[in-house]
Order: sequence, then structure tokens, then C-alpha cells
Amino acid sequence: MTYSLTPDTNSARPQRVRFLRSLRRHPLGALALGLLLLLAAGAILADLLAPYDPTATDLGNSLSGPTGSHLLGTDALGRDLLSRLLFGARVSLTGTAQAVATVIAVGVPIGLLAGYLGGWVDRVAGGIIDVLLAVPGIVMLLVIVAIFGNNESVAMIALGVLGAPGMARVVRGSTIAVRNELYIKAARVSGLTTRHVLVNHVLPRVSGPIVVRASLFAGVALLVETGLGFLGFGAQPPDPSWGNMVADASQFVAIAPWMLVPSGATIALSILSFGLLGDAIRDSTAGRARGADRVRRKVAGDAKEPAATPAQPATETPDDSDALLRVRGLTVSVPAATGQADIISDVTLEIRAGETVGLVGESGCGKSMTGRAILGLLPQPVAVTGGRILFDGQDITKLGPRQLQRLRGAQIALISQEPVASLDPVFTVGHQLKEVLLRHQPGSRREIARAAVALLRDVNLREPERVMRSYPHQLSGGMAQRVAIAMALAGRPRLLVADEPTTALDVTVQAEILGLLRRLQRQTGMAVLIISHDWGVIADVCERAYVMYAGQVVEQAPVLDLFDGPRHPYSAGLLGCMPGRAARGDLLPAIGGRVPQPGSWPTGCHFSPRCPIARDDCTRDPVALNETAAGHASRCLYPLLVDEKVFSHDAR
Amino acid sequence: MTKLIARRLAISVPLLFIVPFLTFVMATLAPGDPARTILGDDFTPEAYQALRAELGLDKSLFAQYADWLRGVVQGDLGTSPVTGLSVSGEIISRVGVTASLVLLTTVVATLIGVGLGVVSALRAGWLAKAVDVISLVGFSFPSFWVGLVLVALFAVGLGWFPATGFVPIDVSPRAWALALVLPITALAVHAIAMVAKQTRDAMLDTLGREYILALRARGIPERSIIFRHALRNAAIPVSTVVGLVFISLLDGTVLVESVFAMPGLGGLVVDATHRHEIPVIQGIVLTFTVVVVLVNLFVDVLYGWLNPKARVS
Amino acid sequence: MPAEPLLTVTDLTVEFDSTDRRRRGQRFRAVDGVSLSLAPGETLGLVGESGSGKSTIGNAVLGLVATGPGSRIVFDGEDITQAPPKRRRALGSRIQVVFQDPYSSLNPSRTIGQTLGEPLRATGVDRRETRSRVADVLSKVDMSPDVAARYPAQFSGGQRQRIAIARALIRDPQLVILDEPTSALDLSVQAQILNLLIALRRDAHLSYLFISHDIDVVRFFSHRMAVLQHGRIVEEGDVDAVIERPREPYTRELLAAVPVADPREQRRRRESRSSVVTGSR
Repeated sequence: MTYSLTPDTNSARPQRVRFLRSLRRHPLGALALGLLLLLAAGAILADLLAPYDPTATDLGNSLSGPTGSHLLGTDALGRDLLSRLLFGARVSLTGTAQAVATVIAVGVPIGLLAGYLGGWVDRVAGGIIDVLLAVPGIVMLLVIVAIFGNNESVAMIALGVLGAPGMARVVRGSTIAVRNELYIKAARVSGLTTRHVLVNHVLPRVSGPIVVRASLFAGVALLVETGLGFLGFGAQPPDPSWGNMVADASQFVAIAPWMLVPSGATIALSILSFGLLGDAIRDSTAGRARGADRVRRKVAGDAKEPAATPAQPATETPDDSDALLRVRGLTVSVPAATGQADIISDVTLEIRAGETVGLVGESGCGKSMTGRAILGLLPQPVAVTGGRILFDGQDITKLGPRQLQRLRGAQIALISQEPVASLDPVFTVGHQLKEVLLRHQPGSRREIARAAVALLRDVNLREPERVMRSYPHQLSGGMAQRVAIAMALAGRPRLLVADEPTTALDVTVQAEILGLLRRLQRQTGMAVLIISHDWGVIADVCERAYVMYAGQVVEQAPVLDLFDGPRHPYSAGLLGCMPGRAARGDLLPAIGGRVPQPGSWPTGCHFSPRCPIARDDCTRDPVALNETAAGHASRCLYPLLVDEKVFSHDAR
Repeated sequence: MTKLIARRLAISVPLLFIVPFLTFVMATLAPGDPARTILGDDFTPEAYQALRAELGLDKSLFAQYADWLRGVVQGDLGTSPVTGLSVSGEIISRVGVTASLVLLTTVVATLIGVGLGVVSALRAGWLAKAVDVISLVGFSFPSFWVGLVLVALFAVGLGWFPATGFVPIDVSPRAWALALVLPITALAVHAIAMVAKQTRDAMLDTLGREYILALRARGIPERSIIFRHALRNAAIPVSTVVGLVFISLLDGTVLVESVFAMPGLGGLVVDATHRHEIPVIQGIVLTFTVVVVLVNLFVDVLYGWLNPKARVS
Repeated sequence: MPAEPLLTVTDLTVEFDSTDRRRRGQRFRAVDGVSLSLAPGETLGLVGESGSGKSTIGNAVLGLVATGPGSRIVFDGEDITQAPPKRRRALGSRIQVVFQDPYSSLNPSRTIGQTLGEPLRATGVDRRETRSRVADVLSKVDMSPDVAARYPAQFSGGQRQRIAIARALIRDPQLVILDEPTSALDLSVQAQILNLLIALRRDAHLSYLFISHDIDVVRFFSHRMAVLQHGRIVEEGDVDAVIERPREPYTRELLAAVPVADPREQRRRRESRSSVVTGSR
């Protein structure tokens, strides 16, 4: 689902600045950080800030509730709750800090080394982690309290040790992910030492998860610390801690429920702050952690005004065609910062019953989106914003979810690029195939099972019974694609959309799958739309083809005409880029520049900035698809002549 | 699958020996000793030596551990140095309370958590936000505090439920149920938050997968896609979290039983800690460790059953 | 062809622990007795399908995987098969690599300048010298020097691949392992990158070990080629000889399976092949 390569402008700044910036984008995270800093300051400055001595009793003023002199009220001995909270923060926050420091000091090195070095180090560390994870936490702490007495530091450091496996596991997982990144390999090849790689490449990349985990663990530590205080461990009366303040309050639930509020709210707000801070950091570092992946999937951020959609150019031919599928002026858009960005613009194509048609182009040209639109399966928030998709006379863009559901599988089917990923991993092939069959034809259990086996045999799978019992992960890519084809055929569709059906497969398997598709197409008489970036695949199976560039169909022709004499400069250029057609030793006649992103298409001809023969009028108005010969059309004001060479051999 | 279980056993069985042993090691490292604690400030050296011998403290660490292990094998976890009661007897008489709490809370939290998680994954908007808020709040409020607030509101204020105590189910099922409502609620808030968040994340992840698109393209009805395919796949990570929830509830009961003065293992371990009754604590540690090991085994089996990649070899 | 090869690999074997659950604990032989040699300035193409071991050979030359007993890798007269870590690090200036995935091959949290300058800085080159050499190498891959201050996320796949090539070239290596360097790129971008690599090869007299699954690219780009299957070299020779006159059945099958971008030729080949290839894989 590549729709754009929009650069991520935020990443242009150093990490620290980016972190602060991202906190600004997460007001809740910033608020949480502020609150925690405030609490810490309150604890440090308690001597100055507290209005009363936290242990000073005033029996005439007990259980008072909030008053002018005691903002948060008093307890049973008339001690000021605000002062006790401030001094109690010292105990509770110190304990939390001790636990967090321990968790980092113990967990991070173990996780880092286990993840980076792997092998026996990893196995030993993994064993220790698993053992410690299975230790019941609070009960273990009580053992320590019972043995070491009320030494809170020992208990909180022990809590840190008990929490370390969780941290180590997170760090190990992130480290393994980073270790497998190619830039780590490249750094090693460059002759950098292990220490250098760990410190300069791995640690910065796993610091996000570490901080997130530490923040979440701080919440847990505070929960445990106050829990121990509540049970009467840790700070002993009359000294306050947040936990023993709740315990004090619990004695007077019936007569002074207010007393529960100050301590409980402070504890909850602190834990909440740790959690929110962790979430904010996670959100701001997730992008960096997944880095590239996110950019690749990101939808075009901002767009110009939807290029003043032209009063539909003359593409709209009179609709007397009897084709099975007629796409007319299809425009598909994604919401953007300003208005909407078109991903597909004014696409018109048709497929007759039993015909095999190719849709060829580079990534981001909109060919997959065209396929998804035909199935009514555009991903959110992409939507059809113009034109019609007529299947057998019925406009698919106007159908409701139920009607679409009845159409899919039964009339139009899909096979996609990743065959194994297109099968549900938890059910057997047989289970899934029977579910599809049952959806499209009634029958007894035995009839359906027999039909399933017959279908698998039909797609040239040997031992169909064994395949029926297999789970998707047990299949090779080629077998899985055959299974996917069988499932697509289960409803006897009249049109099969094959989106890069062989791109993930080896060439010998590709040849078999293409052969299979050709045979099935001949036997069933269904029409096939092959979406591919590979001219070889198009040449192999298609009768006609559409070439797409930057959201538009730029050329349509029978394949023989297209390969012999492309009439659009882009088609000619793309054909010329194939190493298979070039002489060895030469340079390739490459097209300079790069494909424009949706939302930043040029006015006029989308290809004009890269076109060697573009003239001034090419950039003025949208260009229509003009017929150059029977069945051959080119979206070019100056269509090429046969054998006209336009690309030089030095673009690189 | 067998490999998974074998690995779990290889880790778990030593755990049953290591954890109690660690408590022995720590007990010897600690300043002071139980004999001194029991005798208080005023004792004669003879009485002290006699008590040490009686408690087995004059033997080596390994000998003490071996004695204890021998007892465990025979079902004898020793006696409390303070009350003189049999530790195993104490544990057996109290285990029902803790089991009721933990098991019922797990069931309640799983049902509500999965429900909330699924609904919020399917309906973006206010419901998803509500689940966010619930899970944040659930994570933030300590269960013992929630318990006290519930007591203030529903026991003291409205008088709907008893404020403290536990009634065995064979005495009065109704009283048993009423007594459990508030403690379970106090425990479940956090558990529901964990389950709901995991369920939602897992559902969203699953619904974004390629095979969901493929199922739609094959004309499979949406109901089947969500409840048969997506939920079934999401159940794999959710089952792991339910196991974690169960284990964290063991910790939670220590606090919540204290709040509601319930005669369970949690209350016992707190009292024992206050009184430095090492044999009692050790018995409970062993009990909890066994439960954790069993739960983990169960989760592993469940995981293998749910996930063919782990099961099929 | 000069008599003295730059790289000689003899009887290379590489084994891995099987990732297949069915054979857990057993060893899987990814490369099985491969011998090859590469002259200065020459490009040797390694072609094969997934699992043929072609990338593993590259990793073995780079010292990223352990080699089996009896394997020998000689670079410029020096046996580097078991090179100790220190020697291996020093080789980083002479043997370099460009990987397939331009997204994973640049650290997203470091600027292009940091990434390119890192190996120089680590070997004690001063800041100013580093900056000027980074600018130099960027111009070699047709990018402007101000690129150095930016982060990888701001570049397209093709631009990132140029940067990855710049990283490989910054210390003027003699041998560059190209591990599917254009497989993740679009056709038009692939053409630009191939042209760039050809120009660089000519200018700096570089040797390439070019690993690819795409026979057309290998034919266009390499002087000699080796066809791999199941970790072994099936056939090796001059590119034209292997492609025009394949001797081995597997080479023939592979060549027949590649669709030609010519509908007429493709139809002819399909008809002649239909009898040969059957069965499922």
C-alpha cells in the first residue's frame, strides 16, 4: 500500500529538540511531565512549603475536612494533610526512584547484550528472565520485608530486580530488531568496533522503548510502594508516606470519607502521569523506531488545491461499449491538510468478458488503488470522489456494503502480491477454502469438501488432501498463491483482479503461476486484470495494456502495438529502462528525475517535467487521452512516432 | 508444542526449588534472627540457644533447607513460631477465599475487557476514547484505595454490600456472592483495563492484516470476518495477557484482602510478615509459586492450541 | 584478464542452524563448496533464486557469517578467511557493500553526514577533512553536499540507495559487494542507479560482486556470471556464453522462465516451453 514517499520533515532536527517538540504535540504528556516535576519539587522543598510540621498534632481540629487553615483538611490527630502529603512524597518518590534506577541498571545491560550478541549469552539471559518473570512479586517483597525489617530501600531495590526481566525483555526485543537492520551490518563492514556500534547505533535506537518502559514501571513501583505503606511497612507512624496516609484514612471511612481523597488522588495522579508520559514518549519515538516503514506507508501530507479538476476531458467516450467492466473518469482521493489529494485522476479503462488486460506502471502511479477501487475495497480514508465503475452495467461506486459483499468473490475476485499473508494463519487451508465455497454455493459438508479438493487439484496442487490439512505457514509462496487462486475461483467470478500476483515469487514459480492463470482464464472464460510493474509479465499474458503514470492512464494499446511503438514518451522511456532490452556495455536510456507524489502533480501533463520533448503548452492545461490509431490512445499532445528515440543514455 | 511445554517445565521445576532456597539464603543474610525476634528483648542465653536448636537455626543453611524440603514432600510446611499452628493447615483453610477472588475476577475481567476491547476496536470515536480513559484510570488508581472508596460508597453509604468479611459458599451462597462483589470490583478495575487495551490493540492489528482484505475480497460476510477470523487471531496475544492478569491478581489479593479483612492467603502473608513468621511466609511463597507455574503452563497450552505456528511441527 | 585475481574463494561452505521447525537442531548448508574468483575491475554476477545462497556468499566475503572448514577466501593475496576482528575492521576500507533495502540500510536517527563520516572519524580523520570527503563522495553519486545535514527519512528509495553507495565508496575500496542493490527500486530508478554504478566502476576501476535474482540485470551489468542453485554453482562463465549457450538444464530452465518484454518472442517461448515445465513448487 504505497501511496507516497513524502519526506518526514520532522526528522530533520536533532533528537533532543524533536523530543521536546513532540511533547508539545502531546499536551497531555507535557502536562504529566510538569505535574511530576512539581511533585518532585514539592518533596524536595517540603521544609519550606509545608504549612505545618507533618507530625504536629492538634486534637481540637481533627478530621476537619478542607478549611482555610488546612487546605486539604486534617487527620484523626489533627495533623495537616497537605504537609503530610508533601513530606510523604519524599518517601514515596524516593522509593520509586530507587526501583526505577535498579530496573534500568539491571535490565538494560542484560537486554542489550542478550539481544546484540545472541547465541549462548541470549539463551542464559533468556532463562534468567523467564525464571524471574514467574516469581510472584509482592509476596516476594514481603519475604524481603519480613527478613530485612522495615528497610524500604532494600524492598524497592528488590522490586527493581524483580522488574528487571520485564525491562530486559523489552530491550532485548528492540535490540534484536535493530541488530537485523542493514545499517548495523554496514557499520560492522565499515570496521567499527562492537562497542562503537552498541553505543552509537543500537543504544540510541532502543532508548525510546527503555524510557517508555521505565516510565510505565515507575507507575508500578509507586503502586507497590504505596501498597506496602498501606499494609504498614516502610515509613512508620508518625512519619507520613502516601501509603500509610491511605491506611490512616481507612480507619475513618465511615465518619470522614474525605480523608481518602488527598492521598488517593495524589497517588492516582502520579501514576497516571507516569503512564501518560510513557504513552507520549512511545508515540514520539515509535516513528523513529519503525522509521523507514512509516515513511513508506505515510499518506501524502499536504496537497495543493485538487488541481482544479478539469471539466472532464474528452476521455468520456459515448457509452455504447458492452464491456464487462467499464471504468469511466475514476478519481480517487485522500483527505489532506488542505482539501484532498488525488491518488487517481480521471482513469478510464474497460475489460471485455474473457479478456486479459494489463495495468502497468511504477509504484505510486495508482495502479493498485485502481484495482482496489474496482473491488470496492479502498482503505480508509481513501475514497472515490469522481467517475463511475460499471460492472455489467451496475455502478460499483453506488453500491452499499451488503451489495458489494454479494458482488465480491462471486463476480469479481482478487489475488494479491503476498500469497501467504493473504491466508488466515490460524485456520487450515481446507477450513478457509470450505468457508469460501459455502459462501458461494449451497451443499452438504461432503459435497463442499469434494469441491474443495477438486479446486486445489485444478490449480495444479499435488496431494490436495495434504494441502487441505496444512496451515498457511507450512506452504511455500508458490503453493500459497495457488491456494489463493483456488479461493478466488471458488465463487466462479467473471473478473479476476490479480495485483502483482507473481512479484514475491521466484522466476520459475512465476512462470508456472502465469501459465496456470492463462489456462484457468481459458477454461473458465473469466476476464483478468493483471496489475504489474513487470513488462515481461504484461508481454507474457496480456492482450491489451494500460500504462499508468502519476495517477493517470497515459497510454492504452494492444500489447503488440504498445511494445512495437509506444506513443507516449513515458511508456517509451519505461520500456527503454529495461536492462533486458539494452546492449551490454552501454548505459541505459534512463528517465531523469523521479515520480511526483500525489498532491504535487504538475498542472498540465503529469510527465512534462521529466519529458525531453515537452513544450510550453504541455504544462498549461490537463491533457486528454487521444486516440492515435484504432484501440491505441496516448495522453500526449505530441505523440511519438514509431521508433522515435527520446531518451539519452546518460541519465543516472 | 511439546517443546514449548518442555521448556516451560525446564524453567518452572527448578523455580520451585530456587525460590524457597533464596528465602533461606536471605534469612541467614538478614540482621538478627527469628529466635531473637520471638524472645523479644528480655531473654537468657540458655533460652536463646534452646529456641535456636528448636527452630533448627543451629544447623547449616543446606541442612535447614533439606529439612524443610523433606517436610514439604510429606505435606508438612512446618509450624508458625508465633501461633504454633501448622502452616499447611492454615494455608488449606484459607486458600478457598483467595481462589474465589482470583478466579472470579479473572473471569469477570476477561469477559468485560474483551467486550470493551472489541467494541472499541470496531467503533472509532467516543467509545474508543472511553476505553482509553477507563484503562488509564484503571491503571492509575491503586486497588486498595478503590476498595476503600467502594466501601465508603456502597457499604457505609448505601449499605448494599457488607464492608468486610467473607462467607463460605456452603454456608450461604447469597452472602458469599454479596461479600465478594466489592473486593472483585476493586481488583477487576485494573484487570479490565489490561485486557481491554490488549484486546483492542490486537483487534486493530489483526483487522489491518492482508488476509482480512483477502477475506473481504472473497465475499466473506463482515460478521464472520470479525468474530471468526479477527477475534480468533486476536485471542492469541489476549490469552497471554489474561495469564499475566491472573498472576498480578495474586499480588492484588494481598492488598485487597487486607482492605476487606478477608481470611485469605493475602491477609495471612501480611500478618506473618508483621510477625516475622518465616515458615508461614515460605509456605505461602511456595503456594503462590506453584500457582504461577501452573498458570503459565496452562497459558502455554492455550497459546499452542490457539496458534498453529506454535503447535504444528 | 590479468593473471592476479583480486578475490579468490575456494571451497566455501556456510552452515546455519535450520530455522525450519521440522529440522530444528540440524545444520542447513546455505553455501556448499563454492569456488570463484574476481579480477581487478571485473564484475562477477551471482544469480539464483531465493535460498540459492547467493547473498550468503557475499556475507562470507564480508566476514558477517562464519565459514565452514576447508573454506578459503583470499583477498589481494591475503587469506582473510579467519581474519581476527582487528584485521577485519581494517579491511573495511578495502571491501565494501551496498544492500538491497535502502530503507533499512541507513540509520534513521543519524544525519547523512554522520553516517558517511563515521568510518573516517573512527579511524582518526579530523572533522574538516571528513566534511570535505563527505562532500566529495556525495558529488560522485550526483547529490549536493548540503544533503549531509539531513536525515534519511527525507529521501526517496533511489536517493537513499545513492547515499548507501556513497557510504561504500568513501574510503575508496577495491571491491564492492552489491547485494541486490536495485531490487527494491522502480524500473526507472533502477536504470539511474545501474548507470551510476557503471560510471563509478569505470572511473575508479572497482570490482563488483553483483548479487541478483534478475538475470536480465546480471546480463546487462556483469562481465562474467555464476548461476547458483541450492548453495552450489551450477554454471559459470562469460555472460554471453552462459546466456546464449547454457550447458546445464537448470540454467536453461531459469532462462526459459524469465519473461521477455516482447509479446511475440514470449508466445514462441511459451509454446516451446509448455512441454518442459510442469509440477508445483
